[in-house]
Amino acid sequence: MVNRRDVLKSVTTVAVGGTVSAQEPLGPFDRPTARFDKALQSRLPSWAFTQCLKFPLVPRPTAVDSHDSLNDSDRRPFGSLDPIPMGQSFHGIAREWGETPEHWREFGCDPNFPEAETWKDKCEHFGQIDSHSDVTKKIHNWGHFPIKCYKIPIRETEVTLRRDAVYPARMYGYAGMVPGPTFKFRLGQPVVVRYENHLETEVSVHLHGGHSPSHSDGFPSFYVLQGKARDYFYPNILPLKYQPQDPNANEAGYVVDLGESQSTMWYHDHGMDATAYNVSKGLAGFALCFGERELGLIAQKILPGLGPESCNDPEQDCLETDPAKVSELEDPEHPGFYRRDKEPYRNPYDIPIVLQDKVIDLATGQIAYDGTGHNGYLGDTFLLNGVAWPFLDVENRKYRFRFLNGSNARIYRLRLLPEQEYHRARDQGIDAPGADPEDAEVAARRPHRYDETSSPFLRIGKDSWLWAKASQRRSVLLAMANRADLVVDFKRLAPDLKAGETAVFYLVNTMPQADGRGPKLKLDDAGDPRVLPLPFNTIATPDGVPTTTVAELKRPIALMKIVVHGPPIDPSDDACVEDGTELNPHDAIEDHEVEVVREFIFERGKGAWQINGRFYDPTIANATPSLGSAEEWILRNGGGGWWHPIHIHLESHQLISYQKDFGADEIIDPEEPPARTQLTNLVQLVDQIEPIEQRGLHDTQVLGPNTVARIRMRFRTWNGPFVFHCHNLEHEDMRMMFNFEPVHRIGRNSGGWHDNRKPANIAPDARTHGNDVTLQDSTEVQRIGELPWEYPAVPATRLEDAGEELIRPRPEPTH
Amino acid sequence: MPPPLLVRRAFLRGVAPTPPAGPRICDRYADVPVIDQFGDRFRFRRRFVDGRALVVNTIYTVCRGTCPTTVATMNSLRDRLTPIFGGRMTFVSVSLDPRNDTPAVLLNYARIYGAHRRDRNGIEWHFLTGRGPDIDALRRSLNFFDLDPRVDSDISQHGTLLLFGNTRNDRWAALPAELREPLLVEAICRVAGFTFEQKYGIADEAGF
Repeated sequence: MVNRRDVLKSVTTVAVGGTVSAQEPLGPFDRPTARFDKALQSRLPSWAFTQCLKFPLVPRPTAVDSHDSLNDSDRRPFGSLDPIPMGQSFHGIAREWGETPEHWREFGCDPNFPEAETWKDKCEHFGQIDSHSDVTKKIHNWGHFPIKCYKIPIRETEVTLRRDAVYPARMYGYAGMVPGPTFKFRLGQPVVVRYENHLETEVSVHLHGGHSPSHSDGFPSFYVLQGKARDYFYPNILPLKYQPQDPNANEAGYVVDLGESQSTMWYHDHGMDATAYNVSKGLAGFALCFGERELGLIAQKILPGLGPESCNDPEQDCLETDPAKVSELEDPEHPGFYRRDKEPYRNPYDIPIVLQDKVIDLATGQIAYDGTGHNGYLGDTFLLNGVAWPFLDVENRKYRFRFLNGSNARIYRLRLLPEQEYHRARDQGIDAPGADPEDAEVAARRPHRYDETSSPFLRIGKDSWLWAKASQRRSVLLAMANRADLVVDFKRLAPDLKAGETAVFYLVNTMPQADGRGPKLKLDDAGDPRVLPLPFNTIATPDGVPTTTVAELKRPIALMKIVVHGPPIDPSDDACVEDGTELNPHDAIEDHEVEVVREFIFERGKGAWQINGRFYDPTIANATPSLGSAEEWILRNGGGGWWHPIHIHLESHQLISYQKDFGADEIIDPEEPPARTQLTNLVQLVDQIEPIEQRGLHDTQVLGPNTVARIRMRFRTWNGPFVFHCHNLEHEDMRMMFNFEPVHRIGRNSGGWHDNRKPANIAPDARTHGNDVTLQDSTEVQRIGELPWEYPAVPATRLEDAGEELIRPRPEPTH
Repeated sequence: MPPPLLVRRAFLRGVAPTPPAGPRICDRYADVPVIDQFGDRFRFRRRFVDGRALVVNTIYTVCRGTCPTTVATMNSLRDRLTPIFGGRMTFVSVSLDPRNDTPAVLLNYARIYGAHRRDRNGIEWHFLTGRGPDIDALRRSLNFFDLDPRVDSDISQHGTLLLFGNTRNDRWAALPAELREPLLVEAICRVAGFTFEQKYGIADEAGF
């Protein structure tokens, strides 16, 4: 009998055979270029672990001042060399900087105030938060601290990515750094960043996991054009919750939603059609945010840090101008950036690490990028904070590690292995949990499992947010754009270490992945297209859930070496977070809050990527939730065996249900394209995920093959447009993306100002199909991106203007 | 690989050597022999990867599915893009059925869209065919393939993608031809354009 795999293998062989026979003798263009080689990804170079992990520098603000004085037209808030006043850059600044949107009447704001007064008006109505250091002090949610201004030129830079590369790589860098500088924001402290684009391409900067106005959110067509600048306004506010019975509520009945306090954000390029290339060239960095709750945890030494010393910002209230003091703060080699020991919220025990994989052409040192069929770019060189296979020296105590998957298409499963176990796994291999112990070959090896040998740690957060409680783990699965906030207690892992001794641990990736489709069941079986069924393990239940295990590599891929020095510190000096410690509680979105249910199917079609059978159109609102409401979205993986991490901008979401059709994994019907697989036998798996993790919060939800996730999300404060999309960056560039635009429909203060009240738009067939243009009187005239509160991609330019009238035929340039 | 002598000297003098150009995305495009609807024979990369803007898609002449629409879109794009790019842009349609799509067949097909004459003053449109394995290598190198071997081997399921880019600055993107035409025009200009005006349709005023 010919089984399916044999058929597939023969097809593959024919195709590959055809390619091979087409080889021609080398011509002038046939310089061999580096390609992703899956065998290379688990092979370490001889110089691995000889370079120290580096930390991106923290930029100093160019101005710290009040709204009024920054708006002064004589003022140069972005340095004496930049004469352009605040908001007067080519692309301008979000209108929320100077005006109050109509719908904020709901919070008690008055949109008719002159500009000078709107700022104060917003401060008064956006609520207050208890200070972490002094319970008698209150911090305004909006604009409590003076506004910080930063200027970040985006330019080409040269970075050596591998020690064995002859030349440095030409990269794109925020401020010429790869990864970009680490921003440190404070909730309640508004920030304006002037990004100047010195690249040969347009960019758009997305603050991932933030709650920012649309103009500053990195909407794909809200570009920073070549040679132009945009003032990104990050108010760093928390959304408001309607709770009129709460004693802290403002007069309109709103309180600050503290559960939304962001912690680990990052920023990266989001330009239309070019995100994947730009991010692989270096446009990504951390933006850490410190809210009162988190600072409280650090000050009380619940989270690792220097206690109250880690809660200080030397330039929170004003910019240091005294040259002597500035030279104390500034890194002498990098003017405009802090010294490591002077940076705000300085914390040597808080280690942010961005994981990226790239293909590097050793002959030229450059990144070899190719879209690989638009499936997803994988690399065989692993870079942590831009350093290939680094090492890190640590003290024998608790550390906080914030891992970010900044890769285009790779999904990681991270583990921490003691040196001896790592060497054993590397040399002998680890058997898959499902391996048959009766098999002689398996028995001949010494079977052991990753879960028995890898070191435990605490997971304290996912994506931008701290979890409600810390929870112990031995591994963490990290899809693209996901962040994992971990606390590792080295005291527990190396309790017997003496002075002068060291213990070594390896951070390893155990996820088998050889193409952009997703992690595979077996790395070496080219004929079997099946990928891992789920991003988590399941245990069989009576209602049809089988036992599944996330397959892992037989031999782990080491990413970083961690060297622990000396005896454990006194536990009373260390952070006291442990399994179950309460961190950042958030409110569940209850059934009665959900106004609308929408369904989005992420599928492959016509050689590209689609949502609900449509390609992305930036000028259409595919969903228009009501501002202030909550909705439930059904995110359905359309099949084909792909993994899609779905990222929704604007706010966090909570996972309600995770279902899977296990039978669909096996269906191969040549008559039926795999993208159209019907999922009929869905079984509920959400109970198999720990409640803390279910609730999250999340901003990127990974959909395994043939799965359906239901999430709930609130839509607050900003009226869009925003996007949601697959964060496999090649899929995103192929426009696996949709727009949503929160619009104002419901006045909480009934009988109030709101006249043109409209019912929420509930798509009758649960597919919006982009026809959802509730707020727009005429689809021809007013489109998303051109609403009164929005901004055309290019000021005062209609798309039609790109045509014949304006542009004469170019003279043939000489090159 | 040991560094070339000049590079080592530069290091010794403490001068950072200028990195050479890295591999371009378009360096991967297969340099296979092809033949167009006029019967001209040339190698793909030598002919097209030379500082031009390119728009490439895949077709086969007896396609009753998506090809007629895709090619009609290409035809109308050519009218829109000619005033912007003129002779610096080339359209290429690669046949997925080279056995049946001979140059003569392709010429007839091209006639429908007015691409049977060379003298057209503007964007040239080449319909390419060649030996089966060569064309297969070419389409794979241009990323017109599906990871699923069953879908990949069935040409009636081929994608409607337009691959477009600029071989000089090596910017590339691909979009389905079903998008609304203004969106395609905007994206092609932006990605494949040589100058600020070509890319964004506005004059480049000095200043940020």
